[in-house]
Amino acid sequence: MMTGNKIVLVGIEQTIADLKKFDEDAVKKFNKTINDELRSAKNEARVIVAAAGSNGSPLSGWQTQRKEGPRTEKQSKTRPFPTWDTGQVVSGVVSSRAQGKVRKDYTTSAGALINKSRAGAIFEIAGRVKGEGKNPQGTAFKKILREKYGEASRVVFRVVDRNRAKIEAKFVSALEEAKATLQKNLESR
Amino acid sequence: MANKGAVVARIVSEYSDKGTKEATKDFKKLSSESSGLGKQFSELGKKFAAAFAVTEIIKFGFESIKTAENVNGAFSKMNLAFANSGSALNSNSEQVQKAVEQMGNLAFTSVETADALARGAIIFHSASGAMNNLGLAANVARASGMTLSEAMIALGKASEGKAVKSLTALGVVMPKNGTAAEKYKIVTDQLTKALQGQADAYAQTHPIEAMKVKFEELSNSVGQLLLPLFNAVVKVIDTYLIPSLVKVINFLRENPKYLQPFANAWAVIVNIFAKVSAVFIGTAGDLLKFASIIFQVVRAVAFLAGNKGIQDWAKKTADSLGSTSATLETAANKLDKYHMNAVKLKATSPIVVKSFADITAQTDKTSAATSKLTAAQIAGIEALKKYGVTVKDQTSSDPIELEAARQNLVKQGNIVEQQRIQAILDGMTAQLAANEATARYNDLLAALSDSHISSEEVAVLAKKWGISQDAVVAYIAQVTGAAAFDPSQLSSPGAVAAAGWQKALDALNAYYAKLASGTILPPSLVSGSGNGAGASVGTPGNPPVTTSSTLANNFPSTVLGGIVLPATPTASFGSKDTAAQYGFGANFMSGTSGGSTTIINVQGNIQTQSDNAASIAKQFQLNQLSGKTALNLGSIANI
Repeated sequence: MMTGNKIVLVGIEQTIADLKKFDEDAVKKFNKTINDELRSAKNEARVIVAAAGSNGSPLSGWQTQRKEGPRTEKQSKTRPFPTWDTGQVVSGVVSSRAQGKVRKDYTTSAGALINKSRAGAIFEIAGRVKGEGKNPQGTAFKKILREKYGEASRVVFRVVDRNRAKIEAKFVSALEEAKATLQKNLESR
Repeated sequence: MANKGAVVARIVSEYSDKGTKEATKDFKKLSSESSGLGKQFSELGKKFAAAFAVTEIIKFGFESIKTAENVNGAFSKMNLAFANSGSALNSNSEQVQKAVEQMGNLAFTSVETADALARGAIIFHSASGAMNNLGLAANVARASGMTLSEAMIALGKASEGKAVKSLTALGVVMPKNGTAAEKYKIVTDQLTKALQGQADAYAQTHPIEAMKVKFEELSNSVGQLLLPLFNAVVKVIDTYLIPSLVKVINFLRENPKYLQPFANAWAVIVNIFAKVSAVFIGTAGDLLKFASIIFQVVRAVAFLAGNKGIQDWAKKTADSLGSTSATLETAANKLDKYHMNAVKLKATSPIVVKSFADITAQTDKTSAATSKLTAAQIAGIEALKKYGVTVKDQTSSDPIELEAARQNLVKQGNIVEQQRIQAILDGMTAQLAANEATARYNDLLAALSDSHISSEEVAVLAKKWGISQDAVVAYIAQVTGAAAFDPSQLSSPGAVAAAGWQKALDALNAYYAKLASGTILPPSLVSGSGNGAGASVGTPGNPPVTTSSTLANNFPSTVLGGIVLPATPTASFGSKDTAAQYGFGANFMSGTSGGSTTIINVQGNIQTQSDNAASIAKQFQLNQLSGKTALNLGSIANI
């Protein structure tokens, strides 16, 4: 997941903040380009989730409704395995342009897909760690999930890996255009 | 950004400069504290932060060099105090170095020792006095909690026979009798007996403090080695590397596809720098690699810069490394005892990408800063634009630079020169306009030579002058004094010229009316029975008119100009009909051609027809006032 070289964009915030003073339309155009790309990626990810949940849940044994009745003492100490609700998982797949934590390589997010729901996150990354599960059920869960939906990175990472180059190119060109517009405005002052 | 547990797949990353801010802050602090490197080092900080962005390098250099500077500063003070006391001892003396080393073993830093010695030399008025009391001061300091310098000062006061509270608290009883020297002997004996071994014990029981001192000494050793290196590197970076780097960055900005490959290569260089600065202080062997690493860096920088100057510098530095290796080895052996390990640094491609991003972001900020220009600065830029100074690149859009450039322009007189050239151009334009006006006036005179301006003539003039016929009419109206007329209201262009003449005629007729009323001229003249020299050619009933060849009383026709009339006399000037009788042509007032020829000789300073009329009237008045009787109808007719 997320292999290879990445492009690190520079000065988005500064450029857009400055450009806003000169050309609101250029800012709108930039935002539209970026948002369109993110929306397209988000929809693609949602389609994957919807397809996986077309039969109610990705796996036949993945409960879609919580069992009624009292929980055992052991169960009450742990969070129960999340039930699968396709609608909830689909709506939990969102895109974001919010800046997150700064990584050690001095980068933060300029655009990301997020799989917010617990069930969605499990579906996304279950089986990432190679080897047996913690118990036979876990091993079987990982095995079947791999067989049916492939290796971990099944939703948002898959979409990102597939489309990153294209989206990056769009981002870069939109940013360059915004910078050029800003520069032009500054020079014409 | 997302809930806990959510999976975040980042698509696009953006550079954030949070990491380098701390390092830059450190360097600013060092800059304010440092007296040795000052601005130079501060600049280095900025450049490292911007160009290399390896925070750890900066922090390491910061600590090491700061320690080295402090040590150097303290020893400088000590040397000065020693010299003032008349001692030949200084920081290079073996005795002093041994004392510093011993104090180091007692967990006193070089700085503390040097400061205490400096103060001791002052208060004891002797460097040897300070040296002799150093051990006792160390015991006093450890026992009382004072600093080494405070302990030294307390002892110094005691040596003057003064009772010192801090020493009294330690159980010292100052004797009442005896000289100061005797008293001090007793005090030191008491202290030695009571506090013997206190400093040793402190060092043994405070291993962290002792280690701290050792570490500071280590930093000092490294710092002393780094100081000249950093100075040299700063110079090279300033002179060669940064300009080269800027070129590279500009290239990369224009060709972003090369950024990643370049970043991969550059990471290697940055790692070498990291090694140079951090130094693997593990073993003597590691430190000995220092020289070869520097050499590699030097070579790398030389290669990168591709500049002969830096290549020469690289060669010199490489040569000098041989001579410094012995020093390095000694330092390495010392450092081996402490088994210190510096943080290993790794510069990855993203860090390098970020490094360039730093610079790009900085230049972008500079551009953006122009949007916050003051009104005066904007006016300055506008003024520059007027003089053809275009602002395109990043550096020249900096408001400070622009202001400097503008002031420089003013200083060099460029603006004044521009104004002077403009004045010359204006003068030339005016000259051309004058020439044109002269040419037009000549054309106009030629056209008016027959006292008629026909539509055809107007058309010819319009073609020659390159303006419309209406413009020609307006021009004629202006020149002939008929500007009050609206040319568009006239039936033909020639009428405008006629209008000018009409003014002259009106003035003349007014005067003539007075003549006829007898208020000015004697009736005999009006009746035509003049007795002047001029022969009368008049017809009975009509006013006598004299031809130019028969002017009465030698009337100076050249003064007023003359109108040579046909031999047929006329009754009077007046309407256009009567004007026609006097040779102005039947179509004079209508502006059309035709009629007999009337020659108008304009002489003297007369340029327009209204001038002509005014001159006529004026001359008549002058002659009248002077009592001349030469005026008669003949002379008037000649006019």
